[in-house]
Amino acid sequence: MDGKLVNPSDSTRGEGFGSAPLSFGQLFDEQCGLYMAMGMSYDDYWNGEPDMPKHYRKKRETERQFRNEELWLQGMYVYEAILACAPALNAMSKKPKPLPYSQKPYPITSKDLEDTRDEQKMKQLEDGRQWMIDFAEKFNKEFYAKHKQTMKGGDGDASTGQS
Amino acid sequence: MAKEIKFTYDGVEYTLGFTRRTVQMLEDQGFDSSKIGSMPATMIPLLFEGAFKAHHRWTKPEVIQKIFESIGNKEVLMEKLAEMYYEPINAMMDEESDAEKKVEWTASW
Repeated sequence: MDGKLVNPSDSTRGEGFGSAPLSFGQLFDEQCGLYMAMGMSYDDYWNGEPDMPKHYRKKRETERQFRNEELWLQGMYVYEAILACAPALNAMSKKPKPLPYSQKPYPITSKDLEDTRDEQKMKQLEDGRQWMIDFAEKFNKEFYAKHKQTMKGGDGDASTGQS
Repeated sequence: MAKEIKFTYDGVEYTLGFTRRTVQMLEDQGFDSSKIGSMPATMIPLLFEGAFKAHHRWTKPEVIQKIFESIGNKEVLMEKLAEMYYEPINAMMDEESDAEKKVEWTASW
């Protein structure tokens, strides 16, 4: 609180009984704009629940925290973008190609994290399935190549036998 | 939830309380909380009258005077009125955690 609040000569209130040493009315007047800037309506400030300012201060604190987190996240993206570009910007680099940037936003909510985990799991399963298919194809190719003659001979014998 | 005093007088339900506006109005009328001790006869009825402004602005002073005269347990009433009066003021102050409050105090009565 500054001197204005405790300076009786500044106060126009309470003159009937001498100026009050501390005018709460003046304090309310001065703070009104601040609380309106926090989103409190004029009517709520003057006529609403007495403890509303506490909640508006808490709201502002929470908003600042959220904003801080957002800015930090933005910084993370900028940092990653710079790192991804770095090889392309480096004249001495042997591979002057930018690195790939994240395909998707970073998971931050618990649902995002769960989805990412599920996606990773699905990708692992899909990779495993593809590997099995590739392996089976390769194995079959090698198997047929190895036993081509035998199989042909067998087929030939069978066909000969049939005809 | 705002602190309020409720009672019924002459078939009318009254709710006493303070808002920032009514605290300011009360000060404009000359109320000074620091003078309750030295000028109780003036300040206490003024405080009581001010508590009507939030919900019963147009109640006549004579009616308030009659209610004040007929109301019992005035000492406790005054305590509660003072608590209610300071509620909008306290809400403007930053709350400190108990750990930060280093001075402890006791009352002699």
